[in-house]
Amino acid sequence: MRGVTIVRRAIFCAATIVCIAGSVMAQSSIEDALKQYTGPQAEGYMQPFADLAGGNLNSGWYHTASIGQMGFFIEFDFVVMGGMVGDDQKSYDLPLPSGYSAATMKAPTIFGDAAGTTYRDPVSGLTYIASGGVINTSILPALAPQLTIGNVLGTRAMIRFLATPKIEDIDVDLLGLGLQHSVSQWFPGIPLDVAAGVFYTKASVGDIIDYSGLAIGAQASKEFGIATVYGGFQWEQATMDIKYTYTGSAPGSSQVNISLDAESAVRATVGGSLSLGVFKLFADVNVGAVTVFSGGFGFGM
Amino acid sequence: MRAMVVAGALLGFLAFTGFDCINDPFTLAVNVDPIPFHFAVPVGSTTPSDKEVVDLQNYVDDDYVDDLISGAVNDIGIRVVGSHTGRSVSGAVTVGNGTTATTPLVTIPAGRSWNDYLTERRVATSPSYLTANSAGLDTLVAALKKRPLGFVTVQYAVTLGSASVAGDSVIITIYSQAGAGIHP
Repeated sequence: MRGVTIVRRAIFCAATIVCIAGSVMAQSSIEDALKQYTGPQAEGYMQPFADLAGGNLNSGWYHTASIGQMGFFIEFDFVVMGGMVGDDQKSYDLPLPSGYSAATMKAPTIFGDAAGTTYRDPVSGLTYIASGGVINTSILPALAPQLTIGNVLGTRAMIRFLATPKIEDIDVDLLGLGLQHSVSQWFPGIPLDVAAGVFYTKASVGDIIDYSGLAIGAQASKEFGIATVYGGFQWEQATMDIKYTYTGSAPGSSQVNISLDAESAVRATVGGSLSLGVFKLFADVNVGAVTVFSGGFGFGM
Repeated sequence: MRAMVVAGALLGFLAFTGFDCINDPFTLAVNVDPIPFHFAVPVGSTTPSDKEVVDLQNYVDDDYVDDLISGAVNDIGIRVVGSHTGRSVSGAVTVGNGTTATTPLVTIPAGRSWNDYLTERRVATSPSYLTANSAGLDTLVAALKKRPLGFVTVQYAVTLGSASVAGDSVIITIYSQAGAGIHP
C-alpha cells in the first residue's frame, strides 16, 4: 500500500514537473520570437495570449453565492481554466517596414500557423518573414490552487498562490486575492443567494511577462440538495506587460516595453457544483469577449 | 489518495493540452545583422569598380545557423562619403552566392548626383534613387538559407561625372532576415 502511495505521489510530481517544464519551453520559444519583432509587431503577436490569460485568471473564483453570516469555513480548491482560442485569434496584421507598398501583412499570432509566412512586395521585390505561432492548442489552460476562508459578517476571503522553482532562469509566480460578501443576508425575502465580489490577480512569468487583473461582479446561486446552480455578471480588466530586447535593425530603442489590455470587459457566468461531504466538484462557462471554461474540485467544511 | 490522482490527471491535462503543445518545429523570423560592404573609391577614377566578399556566418546568431530554412531581403541601402556638388553618378551593383558577383542586384539610374546619396538611400523608401533586381534578390535569399552558411560577394561599378578624390567611398548595406526551423 505504501508502495502504491509513493508511485502515485511520483506521478503527481512528474506531472507537475512536466507542466512547469512545458511552460518554460513555451516561455523560451515565445521570448525567441518576440526578440525578432519591434514593439508594434509584437503587440499583435501576443494580444490573443493577453486576452485569454486575462479571461482565464479572472475565472473560477466562486462556486456559490451562499455565504453564512458567521462561522468557520475553509475550502481548498484546484481550479483549472481553459480559454478557447478562436480562429480570429490566429492571425493579425503585422506592420511592415517603412516604404513597402502595403502597410501590413497577414501573419500568425502566437496561436497561428507554425510555418510562418513570407510577404513579397509586388513593387520592389523585397521580402519579409513573419514568425510562426509557438503554441498549438485550441484551449489555453491555466491552473490555480485556491484557499477560501470565512465567514465573518457574511464575507469570505480567497487566496490563490503559485510559485515554481526556476528552470532555465524562468519561474512562474501567481498571487490572487478575493473577497465575496453576501448581499442576500441583508434582504431575507430573496429566493436566491446573492453576493458581490472583487478579485485581484498578479502574476509573472520569468523576467518578461507581468500580469495583473481585476474583476468586480455580482453572483447568484440556488441550492438543490447536493447540487448548486450558480451564475453571475462581472466587469473585469487585465493588463499584460511584456519586456524584451529587440535584436533587429529597425530604428528605436532595443529595450521594448509593451502593455496589452485584455479584450474582455463584461462577462456572464453559468455553472454548477456538487457537494459530496467535504469533497466538491464544480464547473462553469464564462462568456464575454473570450469564452472560458473553468472547473475543478475542492475540499471544504 | 483519490485527490492526488485527480490532481495528477489535471496537471497531466495541462501538460498535454496546454503549454506543452509547443509547435515543433515552428518558423522563427531571425533578424540578420545589417551586412555592410565598404568600398574605398580609388583616386582619379571616373569608372570605379570593386568587389567584396563576406562570410554570412558572421551576421547570423550562432543559435540559429544550423536551422535556417528560408531567407528574405528586407531592404538594400547605398550611401557615399565625400561631398561633391554637381558630380553625376550612375551604375549597378551585382551579387553572387560565392566569390564572384555577376547577377544584377541594384541599379542606380542615370541622372542622379553623387550628393543624393550622402544620406543612405534605400530601395523601399527611395525607389527613384535605386531599384532592386529580382534575380539578385533571389540570389541573396538562396544564400541566406544555405546550410552551412557561405559567402556572398557584392560588386559595385559606377560612372562618375568627375574623377574621384581621396576619401571618397561607397557603402552598400543589405538588411535581411532568415527563417529558422526551431525545435524547442
